[in-house]
Amino acid sequence: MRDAARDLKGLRTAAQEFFEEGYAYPEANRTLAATPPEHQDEARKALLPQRTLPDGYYVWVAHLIWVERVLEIVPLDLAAVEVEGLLMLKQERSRFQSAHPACPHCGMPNEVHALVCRECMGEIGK
Amino acid sequence: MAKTSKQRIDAPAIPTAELPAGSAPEAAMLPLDVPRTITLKGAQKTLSYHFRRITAADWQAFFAAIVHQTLQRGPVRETVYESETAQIELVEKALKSVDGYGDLSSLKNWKAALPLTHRLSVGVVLRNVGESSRPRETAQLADLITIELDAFWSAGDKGKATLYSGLVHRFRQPSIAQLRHFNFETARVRVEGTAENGITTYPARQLVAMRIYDELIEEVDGYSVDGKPLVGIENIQREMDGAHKAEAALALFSQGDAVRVQ
Repeated sequence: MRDAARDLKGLRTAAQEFFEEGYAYPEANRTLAATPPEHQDEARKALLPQRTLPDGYYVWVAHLIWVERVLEIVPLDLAAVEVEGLLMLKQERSRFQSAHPACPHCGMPNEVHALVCRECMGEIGK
Repeated sequence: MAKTSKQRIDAPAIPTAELPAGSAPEAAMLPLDVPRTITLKGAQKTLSYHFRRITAADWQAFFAAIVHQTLQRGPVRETVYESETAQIELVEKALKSVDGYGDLSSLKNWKAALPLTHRLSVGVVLRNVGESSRPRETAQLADLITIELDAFWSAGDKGKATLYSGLVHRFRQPSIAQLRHFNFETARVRVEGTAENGITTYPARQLVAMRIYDELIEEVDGYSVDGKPLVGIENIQREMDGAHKAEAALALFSQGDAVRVQ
């Protein structure tokens, strides 16, 4: 058994997958809303990227994201393991944002070469 | 896991703890300091379990012994929440004597000889406390946050359990640092394997909750010690039952769940 919070390599993978999940959610949710209840699980698996690590990694990543948001508003005393995690999270977010730039109209991340926003259909990339 | 003796003792097969249909009178207070007795009713016999007072350390050991895991085996995902071993250990630790089983003096370890199903039934009653079934009022802006609990509690020699409804715990507002501490402790999970074949073991949230209870509690209603209402922060920290502390503090951190944007 290992402490997920101290396994930076695993956390890095979990953070990447977490961001990819977030990216896929808006479209997946639209499809799921029109999917009958008995096919929801199946559809969710097909529409969202598969996780490759035990649940515990994502629990810690979710905590780091919460801490990150709180720090935008108030200062907080952190443990070293949180600071290390936040630095990793920042790197992975930058990497994700480079690959998925935000729409200048609505802020939704898109593919880097997209010409039209997948959410607001506004023109981008010009 | 608690071991059971091979020696058989006289006992009914399927006991049920004696829980009442009624509840405590409005003014009745839950007597925290009176030793608890729990009665099991079988087809032919009535069995009584007499306990010493269950301490904070007993509850800490109990919560630490609960196993909470998610197991992934290929496409099958299973959540494990195993508290029976912890319940049996708690009963064995705090049990002083039993009535109704006949003469136990010849047994080397009479506690281990008690039927497992009986110890489990009694354990369930010992920790029978939860957030009040009364619908929670929409949160009001206030200096103190009120949490209400319902609990079965049996005290004295007769062993009849009474339902105490609306036991009140009033907390100061948690600070961001305390909220962070709660999130930090409860997110410290241990992992093994991969997503396809992995185990995640969660920490006992109740242990963290018990500590935070002591930091935030301001006053309680509905509890007594030495026949008098329980008042004063230090007295509450010292006297309050650990299971009640954990339930109240966990409910505190789930405040606002019922709110929906219209």
